[in-house]
This record gives sequence, C-alpha cells and structure tokens, in this order.
Amino acid sequence: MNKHSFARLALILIILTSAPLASAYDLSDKAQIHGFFTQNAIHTTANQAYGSSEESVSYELTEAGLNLGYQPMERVSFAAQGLFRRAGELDSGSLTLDYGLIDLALFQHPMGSLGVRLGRVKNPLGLYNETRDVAFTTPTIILPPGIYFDRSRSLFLSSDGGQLYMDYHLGTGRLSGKINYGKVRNDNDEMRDAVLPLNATGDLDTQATFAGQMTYDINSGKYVAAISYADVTLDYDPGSMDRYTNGTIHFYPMVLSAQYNGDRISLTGEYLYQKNKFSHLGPLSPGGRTVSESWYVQAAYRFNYNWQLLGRYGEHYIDRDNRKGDFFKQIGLPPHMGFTKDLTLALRWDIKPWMMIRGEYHRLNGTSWLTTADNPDRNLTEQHHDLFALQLAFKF
Amino acid sequence: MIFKCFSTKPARKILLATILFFIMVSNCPGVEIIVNASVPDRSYTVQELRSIFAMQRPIWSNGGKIQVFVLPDDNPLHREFTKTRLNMFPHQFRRIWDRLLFSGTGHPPRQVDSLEEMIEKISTVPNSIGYAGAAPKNKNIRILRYE
Repeated sequence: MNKHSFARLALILIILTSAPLASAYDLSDKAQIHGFFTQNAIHTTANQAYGSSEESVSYELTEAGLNLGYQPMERVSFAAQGLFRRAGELDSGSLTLDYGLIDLALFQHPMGSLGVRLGRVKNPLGLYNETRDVAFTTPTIILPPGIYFDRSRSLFLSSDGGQLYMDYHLGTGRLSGKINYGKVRNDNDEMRDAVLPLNATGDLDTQATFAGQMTYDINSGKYVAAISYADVTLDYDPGSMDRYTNGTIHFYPMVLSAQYNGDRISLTGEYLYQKNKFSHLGPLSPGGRTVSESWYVQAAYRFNYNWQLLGRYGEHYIDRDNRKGDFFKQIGLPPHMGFTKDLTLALRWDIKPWMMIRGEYHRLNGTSWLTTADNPDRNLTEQHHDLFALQLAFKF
Repeated sequence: MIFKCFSTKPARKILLATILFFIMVSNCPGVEIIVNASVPDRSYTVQELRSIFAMQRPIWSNGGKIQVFVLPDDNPLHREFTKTRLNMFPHQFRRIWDRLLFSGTGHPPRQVDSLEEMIEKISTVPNSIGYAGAAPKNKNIRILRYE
C-alpha cells in the first residue's frame, strides 16, 4: 500500500469513527449519512487471492463507503456514495464514486410507482451485484465465483446514464423492474486479461450498455424470483507489441434468481447463461461465439438473532462447450483457467446491528475466478486450492 | 403419530384450541402500531403494513409521503413488533433496507433510539408511522386499525 492510499484509508477511518456508530447520522429531517467499513483477512493453500495469501495471510481486501441521502422535496431526492476499495494487486487503494444520482418520482400511487434516476446508477445483475461491495448485504465474503465474477466486477458495477424504475403491488406480491442505460465503467485491466489472456497490452473501451432486471416478490421479500439481462459491447484498441488486433467483444449475461427468506432458513439459487461474441481480435483470440455458464445453490440457517451458518456449492465455466478448458491448453495456459467449482461453508456472527464478524472456508477446484493481477504467471497456479477468510465489518 | 392428536374427541379439540389461543395472546403483549393523526383512518391489511415497513409503498391514499420510524434491530420491542404484528424477523427487514440504502435506490426507515423519541416523532411528523408498547395519550397520535 502506498502512502497516498494509506492517507485516504486513514481519512475514511477518521470519518467513520467520529460518527455515532449505533445509528445513522441525521443531518436534518431531510438528509442522512450512512457508511460501512470492512476489513478482511485471507489465506489460501495455493495461488494468490487479494494479495499475498499463499502460505501467508493477506489483509489487502478492504472496503469502506460513505453515503448521503438528501430529499429536498417529496418527489425529488439525491443519493451518492463514495467507495474506498483495496483488493490485492488489482487495486492498491482507490476512492471512487460508487453511485451518484438524482431520483425523480414521476408517478406515485399506494399501489405502485414509476420514476427515473439520472447519473451514476448501480447495475442490477442477479441478487447481489448492486451491493456486492457492502459486507452486510452479501451472503459470504467471497461471492459465488461465476455470477459475481470478480474479474468483471468493475465492468458490470455501475452505468453512467440513467435508470427507469417501476413497481406494482398485486395482492401479496409485488412486481418491480429496473432498466439501465448508460456507459459502463471498466476501471482496470482485469477484464481485458480475462478475455485476452496472452499478455494483451491494449485497452478495452466500453460503449453504451443496457442492463435490466424484473423481480417478483411475495410477502415483502419472503419469496423472490428475478431475471436480469445485460448487453455489453467493448472495443479493443491494441497496445504496442500486442498479439491481439483491433476488434470487438459482446457480452449478453442473463441471470435467473430464486430465493426464499424464511424466519430461520434462507434458500437461494442462481443461474447464469452468458452469450459472448468475439470478432476481429486476431488468431489468438477465442473467436466466434461462446457461452459462459454458472450456477450455485445456497442454504443458510439462523440459530438465533445473532448467528448464522451457511453452505453453498457452485460451478462456473468460461465456455460451457469446453468445460475442461482445453482452449487454454492450446495457447499454452493451464486448462483449469476454464472453470471454478466452489464448495463454501460460512459462519456469521452479528454482534451488534452495526458490527459483524464472519468466517468462511472455500474448497476450490479451478482457477477461472483468480485475477491475473494477483497471479501474473498463470502457469504457476494450481488447480486445487483451499481458501480461508475472516471479516470484520461495521456500518452506521 | 403427530396428526392423531387432531383427530381426537371434540372436547379435547376445544381445550387444545383454547390453550393455543392463550399461548398466542400471551405472546403478544401490548405492541400498538401508531400513526400521526394525518394518516388516512381506515383498516389496513397486514400485507400493506409489511410493505410499508419494507419501504415498498411510497405514499398513503391521501398522497402524503409515508414516514416510517423504527427502533434499533436488537431492541426487544422492535423484535416483538416485527414478529407478532408483521410475522417477520428483524433480519428480514434489514436485508431489504440495506439493499435499498447501499445501492442508492431508496431510503431505510428513520431510526429512533428510544420509545420517547418514537412518540415525539409520530406526534410531530405528518404521515408518520411507528409502534409503541402501549397507546400513548397524545391527540396527534392514533392507533392504526388493521386485520
């Protein structure tokens, strides 16, 4: 961590600790400040995850956020969140605008509403993408590796543009929808390295993107069913000595989600079917059309108000017609880059409403989920590895 | 068999029902849903109340913006309220509120730290809703009817 990012982290810590932790900070009846801070410790038996985790413990996964909500009028509100994130070699510490928007409620009725949000809006993709960096809202420290593919996190996180939202109550159910249109961010090279794995040096430029989600929930979230879809286009501009050529990449991820949130038991299942199209990227590119696939099933049990045990199993395939990853072998990379199978066991302790500790174990088979930033020489990675993670999180 | 107890004599059935009734009643010590006097006076359904406290309903039928007030998640009265009045646990609401708040797509309920503050807010904020251990004597506060 360099001096600059340390200073930023220190600043966020000071802001967080000087605010009353137990509840939100009301600036007035119309404005509120909330925030969170998360520090993780990660150990792996092989390969590097979020810093130097192999045969060691990495503390280089830190997330902190501070948000302001302001509602000057009944139908107009503002919301913005600053996010500090440090994630191993991928991100040595950066402060970004996570979202910043004006929300205009165009139509409101006791049975439903319709409105627009303009600015930087979060992209809904699956159940957790919008708040994937906020520990209290996610089921585990390390999210299911395929649907919440960490290597494309920056690409799908948010859009600079707008969101049309609507919801309608039907008896005990509620139908809601979000449609985003705007330019997606792509703040680092990890997505490029995931798609063009042989030392690409150029840049991926994003075009205007569509992302949408329809959700039907019963009894205020007791049963949830959702379908999410996005259409992302990236233009590749090769760098010097690049082995890839000036081409285009399309991603069309579709996620089906189902969840039951009971008094004690929560059950979740999600499935990703993502069409990919690669054109004019040169002879070393995967070429043509492929389909990425991922799924997981998850069960959580609450013993009481404070303790929860969770189990999950999931699989991810970069190319569902090439599940063993032979394509990577052909270009001199390990075939286990083509998939990840993850068995997770996690225990969460909510000490206070504003403080939580959790720990988890992952049995991992495959390396598609690992970042190239942390593992620059893929031939040194191992197919089978275990991961242990511990997290301390605060919010107010 | 478990189900056999439901097929016993009618006298026993009545006794069982009576016991069940008293167990249910004793589990619900006074938690009243209270609203500011400006809130439209009619009978609400539990599902309506659930979606109001989940921040999924923006306005009352009078067009006023619903202002929701709650006690902290670990407050015994909050637990009692969510469990016995809305048939939900605090963590189920928290999941929804945190998702709204940290994605920039909504606001969580305003949190008050004591019952006194709750009563003060409900009596002074138009279109507000909250809960209290017993009906407060305040002309600006009404107990909400629901079924």
